Amino acid sequence: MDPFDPRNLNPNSYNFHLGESLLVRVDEKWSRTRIDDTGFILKPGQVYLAATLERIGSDRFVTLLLGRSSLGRLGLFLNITADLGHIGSCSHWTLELTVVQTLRIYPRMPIGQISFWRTAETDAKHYRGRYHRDDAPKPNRDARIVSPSR
Amino acid sequence: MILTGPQIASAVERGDIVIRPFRKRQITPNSYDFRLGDRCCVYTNRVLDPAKNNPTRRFQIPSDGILLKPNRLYLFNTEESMGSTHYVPIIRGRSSTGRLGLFIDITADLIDLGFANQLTLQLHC
Repeated sequence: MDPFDPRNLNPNSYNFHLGESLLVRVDEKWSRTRIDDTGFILKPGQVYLAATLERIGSDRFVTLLLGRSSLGRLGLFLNITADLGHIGSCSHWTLELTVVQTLRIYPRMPIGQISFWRTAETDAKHYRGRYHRDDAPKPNRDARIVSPSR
Repeated sequence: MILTGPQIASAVERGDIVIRPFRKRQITPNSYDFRLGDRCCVYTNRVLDPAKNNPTRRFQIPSDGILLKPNRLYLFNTEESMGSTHYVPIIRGRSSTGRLGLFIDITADLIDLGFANQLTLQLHC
């Protein structure tokens, strides 16, 4: 966890923060923008890619990403069904932000929580995949998703 | 590791888990079915802002129910007070209501150890 501040510890998770960079869909392309201190307004029906301010990962524990109840109560989703991290992955985690109602977000705000889970065995292979070491919000990079050969 | 239904029941008896009221028939193979409370809260502002107070309107759901509309957030209490100082609770929707398009929480499904109260559900469809 980098940076790490013990004040962000919860009973069984750690509060991470929102980075400043945001990818917004404009004319069917991702456009990069900065969230300035006055905030950025998220609208329903649109996916925004952001990243965690912290670099998060572990070679020993499985990371599971969670929202904060305070922001869930304001209708903010942090990911789309993909909340389970890989052992060995270490990156500024890309967040898939969607909202139920229009919501303003701010840079560096505490936005979610990360929890760490022990595995049943210790023989896991470390993740070294395409999103390893990400340092900014990254769109999908797996073009094989729709390949008929899979 | 996850507790089985019978393990949940004995933890409630021992006092290691709080579920109040507790009804044995709501135990499932590896979870406990909780119920929707009757108090609802909706935001009245068009734009929500975590840096400000967001005014709400509160009401009780009548016995014939209320209709949820898309793009609208409804906060509800659970009927049960729940929590544990021994185990970390994690909440899930029921497949039956999921099949009807109902979300009951928004990315925040893991409860802090030591919390024991009615949960606030974030309903939307």
